[in-house]
Amino acid sequence: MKFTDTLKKIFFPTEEPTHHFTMPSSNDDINSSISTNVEIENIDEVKEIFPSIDVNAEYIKVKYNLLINNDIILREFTLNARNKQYRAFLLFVDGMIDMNLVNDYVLKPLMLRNTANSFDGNQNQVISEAVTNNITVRKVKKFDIKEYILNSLLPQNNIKVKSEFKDIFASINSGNCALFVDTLNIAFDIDVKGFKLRSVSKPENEVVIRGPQEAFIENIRVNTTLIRRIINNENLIIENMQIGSLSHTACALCYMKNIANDDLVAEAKYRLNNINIDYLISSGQLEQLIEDNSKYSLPQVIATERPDKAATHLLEGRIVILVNGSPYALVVPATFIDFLESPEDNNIKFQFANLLKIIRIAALMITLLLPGIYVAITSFHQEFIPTELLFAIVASRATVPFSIIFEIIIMELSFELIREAGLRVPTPIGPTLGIIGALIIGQAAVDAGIVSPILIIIVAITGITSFAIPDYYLAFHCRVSRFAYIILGYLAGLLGIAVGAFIHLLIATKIQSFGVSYLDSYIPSKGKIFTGIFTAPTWKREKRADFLDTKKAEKQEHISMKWKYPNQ
Amino acid sequence: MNHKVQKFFAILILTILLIVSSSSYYGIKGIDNLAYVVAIGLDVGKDNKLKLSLQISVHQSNENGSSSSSQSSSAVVNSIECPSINSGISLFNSYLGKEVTLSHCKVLVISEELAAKGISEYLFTLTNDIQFRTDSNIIISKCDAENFLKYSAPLLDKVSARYYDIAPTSSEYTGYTESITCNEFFNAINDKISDPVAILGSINTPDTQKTTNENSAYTAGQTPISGETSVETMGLAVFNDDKLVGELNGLESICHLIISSKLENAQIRIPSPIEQLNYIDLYIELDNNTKNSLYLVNSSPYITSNVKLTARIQSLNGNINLDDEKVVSKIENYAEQYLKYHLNNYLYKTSKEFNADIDDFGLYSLKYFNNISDLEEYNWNHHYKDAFFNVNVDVELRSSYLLVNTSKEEEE
Amino acid sequence: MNYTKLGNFEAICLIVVLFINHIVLNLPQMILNSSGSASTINAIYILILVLLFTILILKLLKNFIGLDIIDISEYLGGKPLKIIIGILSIFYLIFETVFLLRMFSKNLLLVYFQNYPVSFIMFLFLFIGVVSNIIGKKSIIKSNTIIVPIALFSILFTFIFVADLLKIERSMPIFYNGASQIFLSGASNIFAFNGLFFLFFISPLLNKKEDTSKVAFWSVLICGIFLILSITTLVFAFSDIYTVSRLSPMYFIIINSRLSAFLERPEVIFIFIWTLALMSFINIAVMFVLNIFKKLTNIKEAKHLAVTVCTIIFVIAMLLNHIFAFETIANYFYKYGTLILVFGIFTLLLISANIKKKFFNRRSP
Repeated sequence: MKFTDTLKKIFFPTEEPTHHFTMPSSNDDINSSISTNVEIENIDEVKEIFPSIDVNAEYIKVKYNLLINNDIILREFTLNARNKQYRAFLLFVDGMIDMNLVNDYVLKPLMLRNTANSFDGNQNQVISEAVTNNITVRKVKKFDIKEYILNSLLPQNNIKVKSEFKDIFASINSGNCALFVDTLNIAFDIDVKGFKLRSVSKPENEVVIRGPQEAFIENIRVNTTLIRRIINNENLIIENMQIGSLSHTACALCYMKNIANDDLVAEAKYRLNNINIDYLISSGQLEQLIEDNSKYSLPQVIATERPDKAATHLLEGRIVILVNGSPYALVVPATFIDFLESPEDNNIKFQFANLLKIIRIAALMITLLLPGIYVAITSFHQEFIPTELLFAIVASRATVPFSIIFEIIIMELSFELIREAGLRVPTPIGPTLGIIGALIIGQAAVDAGIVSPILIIIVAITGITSFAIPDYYLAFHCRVSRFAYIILGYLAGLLGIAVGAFIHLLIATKIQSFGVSYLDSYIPSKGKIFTGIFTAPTWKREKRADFLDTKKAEKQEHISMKWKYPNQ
Repeated sequence: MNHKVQKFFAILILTILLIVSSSSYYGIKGIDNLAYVVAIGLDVGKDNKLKLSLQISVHQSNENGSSSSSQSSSAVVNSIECPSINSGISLFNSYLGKEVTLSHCKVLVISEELAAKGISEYLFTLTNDIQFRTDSNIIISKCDAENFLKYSAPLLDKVSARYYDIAPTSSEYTGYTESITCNEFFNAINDKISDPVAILGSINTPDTQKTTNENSAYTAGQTPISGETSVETMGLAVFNDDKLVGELNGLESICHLIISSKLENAQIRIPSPIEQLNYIDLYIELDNNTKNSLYLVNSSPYITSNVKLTARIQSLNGNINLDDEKVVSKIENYAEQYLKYHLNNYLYKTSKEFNADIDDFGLYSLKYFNNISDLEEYNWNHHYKDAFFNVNVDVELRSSYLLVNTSKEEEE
Repeated sequence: MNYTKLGNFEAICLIVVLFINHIVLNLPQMILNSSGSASTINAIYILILVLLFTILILKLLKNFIGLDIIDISEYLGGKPLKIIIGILSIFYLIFETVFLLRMFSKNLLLVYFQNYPVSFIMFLFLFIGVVSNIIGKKSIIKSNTIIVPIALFSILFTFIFVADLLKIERSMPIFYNGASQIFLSGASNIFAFNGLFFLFFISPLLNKKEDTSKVAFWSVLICGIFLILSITTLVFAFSDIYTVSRLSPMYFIIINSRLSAFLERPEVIFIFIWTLALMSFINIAVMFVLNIFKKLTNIKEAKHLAVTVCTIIFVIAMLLNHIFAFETIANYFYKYGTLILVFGIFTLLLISANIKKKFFNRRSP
């Protein structure tokens, strides 16, 4: 490059051509867009499969954009049947089928000459012969290629005959292969699924010590088998349905036919069938679409990754909804106390379970209220603090330049920040970041006299207790509500907290989950109060929850330990 | 829908604005802007005014530059001459620069001089004050209250607030005084049938000390302690209505606690029935609550107290056999005689000398009246000085401690 | 009319909540001032009286199952009587709320918010009243069902911690100012059970209409037991309680109780719970006012009028400014308003409606 050019570039920069892309909006000129479908008129209106194989192939090529869509394979071949040759093709998605299965048990019997397809069968054409008045009436079995392929040529366990393109496409998209044969206006839907799945592994977010160690995976069929293996009863109904007009996501509605309330099942079906969305990716999305009061942030649907927990709920009479592609099952209806229940509770003795439950309730209270109460007490009710503690707080705040409310909001926000950052960074540095954030920044802030050590303790306790809440959404709800309580505590002390608590209570009593009142374990409508909060001993769990209104109210005999009291 | 949302937010914003504006206007007393009073002292000031002394805690965080910073609290005592408590507090507010709060006040110290004049005015004022803790202790100081506060540095503790929390509870294991709260004192002033007592305290200096042979017959300030000058609480101050009329020494306080069934445990020293010893130390506890009964004989009260105590022997010498029933009953008898003597002395002292019914005997007289006008006509306070007492003491010697038998003859 | 149906327990809580607020604020002091050391006897006596009265009411109500006092008054005297009774009831509820709110706010102000204006505190209470009525009746009733047992338990708790102060001798002299005072003029103390006001309105709301008697008895019994307990505790534990009037006797019990050995200033927790109880009562009062209003005017949905009702309450409460006089008015209203309306007018109405029914039935066939 010449020196002058460089100088020129420096002093008279010319704009280099860069890549610009703008989305064509609907207002743009229509002529500029490329029209594709020209071969077949009204391509969207076609429903039935054509008898001509060429038309079918052409249609599929257009529909699937086979020229640019590389993982869809259309394999044309000649089919041998009764010594006759037919043109045929297989349609499948590469990677979703089991190649060996297709090669050995679909293509081999159809293409290769063997005893089954070379036999012309003329000998057996006559089914019955009757002679009346010297006229022989022969009932001749008409050769039916469709029946013949179905009955004799395809050694497969799961074949369906479909006559509409829509059905065929749905099954191809889910990993089946379709066999089209010339002259037939139907197609064979052969189940040869064989895609790669994540293997069933340990649950990662709902860990238990004594309990089964398997978790749901993304595939719905595996998930249903996981549930069915545990329940082991023919009354378990698993109904399939599809949600999403584009994605056709498979969902499964599971319930116990002889236990779950019929109205509840009908309501769940009604809600699932009336969701008009384009696509559904995860169960979290579905959860928000089916819950009763989506305005409030309290969780109203249980989400679990544990098949044993889902099965327990099924046997209790609740409904489990599985979504393909999501390793979390949804359980409805749910009451508040369900979100404080850990899957461990049923495996351990009731004394431990109840102690843990009390601890979790306390943790919920602390994480929700502690910062707010701290602000309220230090601003309005100094006399409530023990004198020595008060003096310690005052002394520790001697150099802190901020007011308590400012201090606590900053610290809570930075705690949330550390938590969020710790989640987002790659796994190896995640814990390190948490430690850096919590320890080093906190310590440094205290040393610098920006925050008081008492406040660090409070924020830390709040953070730790929020991890003790088993349900992720509930913990989230507490994290958000906490800020409201801080502000209320600042405005009007404990009166403000009381206002917040009362509104919380009003909302909680308002919420229903599939017709079940949210606080039903505290105030059931049928008189008894405060039932169902604590776990009963295993031998005393005689009744299913009242609010589920199940067909079978009792789940065990009055005397469950028959060996101990044989005469009763 | 959209309209609804807009409306909702409009209302929400208005509400929040209203709340925020109104609350920030009125201001919040943050914990940093308050001066915490630990103790209040009341004295007679010049010209019959009041001298108000406040002990205020001072907080500072000592930063050593390194990561460890320690907090310490100390206290200052300041006094002000003022016409009333509240005006005094206002004066304090003006020169301290921080608002004085009584919400962590632990004791109220009143000088003897002021107490003799009557203190109901101050108590009513303080009880009316919402900040003042009515469960703080009330101490009547034999010296002036300001000095009492100044010298009240705890010997073993660092922080004076905790000292005030714990110090009065020593009565639970000595019985030499009683943990009286302002509440109890206030209630006793108000009702017509009993009189209040308060903790008696003083500065202990070599001048005020005295020695007696009789154990625990000291009042505050008299205990012969060697060491730095410090305050001491011992004995009780007896009031008639709201005026100080006398004081009880340690032993009399034990008697008071026995009669009013408040004794936790105490230690007494009785003359020994056994020759080898001059005195025996007994550790006594109430076995049952003391049963008091009262009869009106010619409208003067005749009061019977049945005291039941258990005792353990603390001091031994080499020649006592506690297995011997005779020895035990001998000691029991001596103890009963000793206690009966002192209890009687104490009771007649309260009725004849003080005319102050500090043991709630008045309660037992209530059943002789059908309605309130009869009671008022009778006027218990006038009749208590005519009371007769009959004390029955039953001491049961339970055991000694680790040694049971030290007599050598038995072994031979 | 889309009523939310009440379970028995919920109905009992509904009646008891008014009582709780009074017992926290002024009821024990009022009875103590009139009966002194004989208050326990007086309380037992009025409990018996009220039980008898309840039996009478239930007998009278039997002919009108599923109707409330507004319907009955319409049956008796047509629309004019209905409107008069409706307005009286609304007035009673509104003033009851005003006085309770004002008293509680004043106490709260004295104890914790010295620098705040009373309007701010009352505003917060009424804010809840509006929000709850917009959220719905079901929430109001259910939240009340949670709060009432907690409040009752908190009151019980205070009694336990003063147990060691109790001395039975303090109940003497047995007739404080004469037997006639206790049993004749003392009978007017039945105003303590003004929760029975709701009994006249609760019948159509009940899930099982035949359980009205059960609800009435249990609620009267609970109120009675707590009244007797609180008064007994106060009389037996503090000998000067009827000579010195205090802000709130329950508050006084707590600051004197042994609880302070465990916590410093435990009263904060109790005030917190009682605040919730008052909020719950305000919700219920506003709800009933709206219900009655709806009945009188045939409007379709009354819940947005909650703002109006709360504003009216706020304004009336702000009008009563002089605290000493106000307390007296409140006590007078509580005593005589209850006596005249609940034990007077409503009962008379019921009796005459019964007579009319008997008369009518005899004539009609």
